Amino acid sequence: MNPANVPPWGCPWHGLVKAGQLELPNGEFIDYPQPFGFWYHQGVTHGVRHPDAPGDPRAPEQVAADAALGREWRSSAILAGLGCQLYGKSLGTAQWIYIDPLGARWLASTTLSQVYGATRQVTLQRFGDFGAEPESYTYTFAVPPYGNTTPALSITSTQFDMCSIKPDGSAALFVMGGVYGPEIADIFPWAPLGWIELSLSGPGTDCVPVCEVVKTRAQALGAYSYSENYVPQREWEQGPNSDPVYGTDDVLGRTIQLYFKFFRSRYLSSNTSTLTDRVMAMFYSPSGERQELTLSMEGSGTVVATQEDMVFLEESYTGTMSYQTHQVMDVTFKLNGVAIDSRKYEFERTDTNDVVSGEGKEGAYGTLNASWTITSARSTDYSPGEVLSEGPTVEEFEVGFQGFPPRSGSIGFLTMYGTLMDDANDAARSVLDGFLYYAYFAGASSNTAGFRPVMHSINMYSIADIRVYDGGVTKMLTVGDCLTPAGKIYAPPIERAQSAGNIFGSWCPDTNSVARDFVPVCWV
Amino acid sequence: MALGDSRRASGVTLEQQRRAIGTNNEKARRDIGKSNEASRRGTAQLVDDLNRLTVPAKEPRRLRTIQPRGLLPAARGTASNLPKPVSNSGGGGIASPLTEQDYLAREFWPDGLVSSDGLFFMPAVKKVVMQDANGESATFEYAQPVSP
Repeated sequence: MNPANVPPWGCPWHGLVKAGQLELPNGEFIDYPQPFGFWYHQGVTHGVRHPDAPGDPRAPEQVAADAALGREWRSSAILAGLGCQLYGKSLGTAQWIYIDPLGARWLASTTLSQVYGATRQVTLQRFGDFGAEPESYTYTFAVPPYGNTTPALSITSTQFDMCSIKPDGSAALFVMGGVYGPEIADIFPWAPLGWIELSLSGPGTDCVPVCEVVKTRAQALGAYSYSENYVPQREWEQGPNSDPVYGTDDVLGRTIQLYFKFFRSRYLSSNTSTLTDRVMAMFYSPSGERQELTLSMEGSGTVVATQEDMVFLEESYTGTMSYQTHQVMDVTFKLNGVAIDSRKYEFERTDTNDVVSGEGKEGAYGTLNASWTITSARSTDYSPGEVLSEGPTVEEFEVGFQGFPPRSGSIGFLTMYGTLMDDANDAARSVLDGFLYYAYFAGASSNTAGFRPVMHSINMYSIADIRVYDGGVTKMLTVGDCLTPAGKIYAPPIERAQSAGNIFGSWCPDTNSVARDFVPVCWV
Repeated sequence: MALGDSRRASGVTLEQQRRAIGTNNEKARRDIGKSNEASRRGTAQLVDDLNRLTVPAKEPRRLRTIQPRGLLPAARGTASNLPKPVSNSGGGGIASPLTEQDYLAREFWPDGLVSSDGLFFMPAVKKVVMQDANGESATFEYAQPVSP
């Protein structure tokens, strides 16, 4: 037998599976089992690379002839979905292929789970050898404490998933998550709260497993800080029966005649907030390097909030009151410490009130202008991932206000953590549903802008911009590029209403292609 | 036959031979005369000589005639494949059929066929032990695969 005379064999069917149909490279479709699991499993892919895989060594014209028939003999394989489907056939939940140093293949499975145990087992079964005697070996390994008890969180249930496999199967990563509730479950199903790695070395007949906690809960949460400085500037009241008062408005910096009953409270507030290196995901790169995707945020701003009510008494009055508000929030995703995607949200407000009054009349109020400026830093030279970007973009997002006075409450980022977290321990929750930043006025309908991290599958993420328009119409725009184990990869943006279901996605470890859709998709 | 008779018979034969020679000589001389006469008159030779002086017109070459094609009439062909009689006489040979008695006795080379992604391996057979119809063992030993 001369192997050179034997055509390549294995599985030639590769492409994107959607609704049980696999689209082949020649544009034709064939039936193919859709990878299954929870929605965030349905697009997950694990690349498998055997160092001695022959691939397709034939002449280019033979390869082209097969490609015309939709066939492609790849030198690598993909395990797809929760069941780690290979060639459309499930290997089993959380089972993978270990290629030992001798090149032998073993089907690996473990008893590691969210229920902690001091020792656990991993079993290796000989895999892929036709005609060989069945072999199976079970090894016991020590499990270090998961480190998932501090800080205490108000989570209701926990999650444990295999999230990534090294291309040679010599290590697998497991994520521990905390489930808060169903309110955002369609976007980010659980807060990642720690990672465990199980490594295998040596031949399958004499394997050495090692278990390591690579991120404790505290490490996964990152560092969080928030400070607010509240300075009341002026609060006074002119009683209803007093004589006209001449006074100086120290806010406006000018002297005016006050002939009216005037209630005002005015305060100045400034705040700063930071969230540093919140670990959102961990996975192995195509070359087998362990990577971490982190989120960092830094916000600051000054807010002047006013409550006022006026009833004018006698003589006419003309005055001008104005103030400005400026809020900035930087959001950055990093892969191994290298920024690969970012957003800058800037809120600028200029409030000018021209108050004209006369006897017994109420004041007529002027104009208020406010706008969001959202800057997306969509250019990066991160490697090794393929980067297709459009360069920096700036989006002006007009904010309209209705029902002008009375207005009260908070503006901009002032509420970003206060209404979303009971204490710093709930920083994990803020990652899930805390990234809406409102230009919010009580009693008024306003446009808002914000963002959320989106999990498309357990190893593909992106940033979604949130828009809430006047009238409550909400849209979610996944304009951000896809964040994958291979880095940032461009995908066409898709738009949908918020809370309208999952946004499925899949990354192909062979071609670095990505797909986002409203129905399950997966590369095989 | 008497001696006298033999001499007489010999004399007659010699006489007949001499007569025949004379007749042939006379005929040959007459033929030479006829040939010389024809040559002088120039009849056949003249034509040949004239033909040598002229360039003969070439006969145009024609393609061979091909019969017009069409549906061939159905026809039935027959062939016979007579099985050779099985010889069970032995005589040092292998008696068919050969049957493998123990699959686990097979031996494989460490080399073989690998799927394109390297995940599946089909080893090449190295040795197979068969048993023939007479219960005799027959061993097949295959060469080691060569690298592509």
